Amino acid sequence: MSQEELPRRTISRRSFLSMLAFSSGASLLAACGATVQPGGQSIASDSESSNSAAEEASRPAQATGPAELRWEFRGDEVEFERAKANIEKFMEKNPNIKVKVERAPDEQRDEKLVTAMIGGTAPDVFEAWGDIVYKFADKDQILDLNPYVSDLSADDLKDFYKWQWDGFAEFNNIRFGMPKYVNIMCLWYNKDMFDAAKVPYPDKSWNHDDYANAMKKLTIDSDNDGLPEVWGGWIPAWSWDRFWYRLPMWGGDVRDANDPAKCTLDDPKSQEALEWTRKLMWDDKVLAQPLALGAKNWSDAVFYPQKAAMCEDGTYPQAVARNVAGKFRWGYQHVPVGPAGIRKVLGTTDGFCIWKNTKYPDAAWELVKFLSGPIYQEDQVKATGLLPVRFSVLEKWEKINVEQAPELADVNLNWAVEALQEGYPSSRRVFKNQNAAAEIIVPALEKVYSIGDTPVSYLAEIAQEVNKSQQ
Amino acid sequence: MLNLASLSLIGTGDLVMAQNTTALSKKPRRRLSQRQIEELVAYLFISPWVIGFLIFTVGAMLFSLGLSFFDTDLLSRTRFVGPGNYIALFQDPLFIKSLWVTSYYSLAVVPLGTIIALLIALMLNQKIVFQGTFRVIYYLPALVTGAAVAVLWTWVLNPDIGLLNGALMRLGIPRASLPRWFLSETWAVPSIILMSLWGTGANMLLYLAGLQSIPTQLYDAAKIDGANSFRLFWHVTLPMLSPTIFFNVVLNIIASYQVFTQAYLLTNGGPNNATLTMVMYLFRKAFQQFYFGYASAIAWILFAIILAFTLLVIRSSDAWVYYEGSRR
Repeated sequence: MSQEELPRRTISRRSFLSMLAFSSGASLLAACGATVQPGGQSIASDSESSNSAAEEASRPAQATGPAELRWEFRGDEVEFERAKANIEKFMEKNPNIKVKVERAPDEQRDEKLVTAMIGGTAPDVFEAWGDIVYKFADKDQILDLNPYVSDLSADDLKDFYKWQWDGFAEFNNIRFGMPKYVNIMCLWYNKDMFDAAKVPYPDKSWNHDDYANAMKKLTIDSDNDGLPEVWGGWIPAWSWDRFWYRLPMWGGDVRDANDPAKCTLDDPKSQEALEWTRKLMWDDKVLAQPLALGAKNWSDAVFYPQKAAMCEDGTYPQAVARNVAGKFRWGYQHVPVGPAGIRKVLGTTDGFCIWKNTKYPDAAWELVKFLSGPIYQEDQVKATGLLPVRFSVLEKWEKINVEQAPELADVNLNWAVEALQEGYPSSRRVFKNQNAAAEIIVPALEKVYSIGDTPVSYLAEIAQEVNKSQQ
Repeated sequence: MLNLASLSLIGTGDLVMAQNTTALSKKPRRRLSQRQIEELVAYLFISPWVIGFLIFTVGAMLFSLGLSFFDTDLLSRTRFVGPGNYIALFQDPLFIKSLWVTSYYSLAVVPLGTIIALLIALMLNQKIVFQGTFRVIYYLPALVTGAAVAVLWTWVLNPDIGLLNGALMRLGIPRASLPRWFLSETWAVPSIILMSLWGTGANMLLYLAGLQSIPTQLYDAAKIDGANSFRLFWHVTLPMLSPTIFFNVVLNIIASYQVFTQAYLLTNGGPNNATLTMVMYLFRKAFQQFYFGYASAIAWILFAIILAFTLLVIRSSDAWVYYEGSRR
């Protein structure tokens, strides 16, 4: 949409809503009008609101009296009950803060959260991560935690992973939250399939040639019809948040490091990286082609039914152990190093955010500080097996997981500890206008990797289109 | 306006305005007629729906009409742009694509759905063994929710292990030549059409009800005149069923242009926007990208298209819909 060409006439939010309410008939909208009232801040243009967010360096005032917070929790029923028990401990230590834990909807949670923000009923604390937080940060809905983190001691700050900590400050010059957990991409492999094909297990020294050779040896296509019964590997190259990290391993990138409006998918190194995946998928047919679109098309559909010998996915040891259920032996390993001598994977910035219109920012800060703290983090590891956000808890991560599921002693959990100590994971680069970039890049990825009838040069062609969309 | 608290029923339904006992003693009692009472009761009964309709449907529609003239995210940005959103829409290739995808779907699913539902109803109207069981079986898909249907069809149309491709392989089609259904730009919309046609049981039920209400003496008279099966169908069944067909076509046009669930759950509009329907695009623009004004403009264009097609069908109905007792 050519928004720039449209006539500019900024009006206040209040007058805008009033005008609409009036035009819709005062009596009809009397009920609606009451819900469209998100805190009464004045309306400014996008750039104005971003600037004001960046300039704000002090803490907003808190309402007087005991604080009542709503925390929207994402997780299953068991984790939810555990979170509530933890909150009891928090409230004992903070008698002036009451926290109501609400389970986030399983479906369309982000859209419902947006609606709640517009309606002025969003929870005080909710979860967001790099891929979605820009939507809220752009709309000035996230409390900047920069003025708050100065509370933390130097030792406390050192306990967080630097790359993840920095990732929380990548949007609009604000710190959008405190870390909740970290998910880093790694290689899952089926040891039984490796043994059957007499292929040595992957190790940290593997490069992408070793990776491709192993895929070829592990692929089984007994009737030679070009559609194997077992694929050597599975990489979600068509996925917006997973395809990008192979590019730095070749020395390329999705976006210019210094210019968030410049797409670099046309860089020859980026093109080589993109072609490596496409060729294995569609020419050599050893890397699994997508079997479905959307949520159904994930590692569960290939790894647990033993339709792929290797998968690149996140770190969920307890969930994988539950799903494998002893049917085969499996292991974790680092994603192989790239031709440029670089190892890079997605490391997420899953965090706890505070809604900017909360009445109790100080109390909400105490809550998110607790949730990122060692007590909650350790309990979260026990409940979910997910990687914690602190080195001090990471030391216990492997031991806790093996206690919870003894078969995990055999899967090399130590790779994750190494990865976090080395600090090679990182969050994805974000474009200046991320929505516009995604609207062009996602269909192009589907064309190249899901449909499979298009060369990677198409991704170079659309780079110019992406650049134009950022103007 | 009547004050309901001041109404009292007297005798067998006489309603008296008892606003003020003092006034009553001075003024003659105003009695409402039985008809007025019935009307009042009727309005009282429908008033919850009417109020809900006015606030949550008409009110929301007017609100969205107003929004369509603004560039707004309802949070931080609000700019009056007049018809700017409507102009921008027709320069937006993705909107044009969504218009094409939705029209393709609608133009296929409405006639095919009508014909298939009618054929099934005709078959199930025959006196066959297990007639009731067959009726239940054909109607069952209509009871399944959209999300469950979507999950089911991911298995049926899975290019690798799906039931349909399995059946096609048994017919001798090589594996490499089989359609990739939702993963193919060519086959993605036909896949969704196929899914929708599977749930045609609700239409079938209406046709079946329509068929059973056709007086048998019309068939008897036609048979005496020497009509064969085709002529019976053409000259008796179709004209007598035309009001039901008309009703179904109008409803199907409205529903087909609003197609969303299948595309949202199965393909998220892909691959390469091959299943980007208008409502899917509206949803993306509003709730994922926060262009609420732009999304409202899409909603109003969608409304105009549906209205135009519906009026077209209604206008044309004089030529093909026959109401018993009416003269042509």
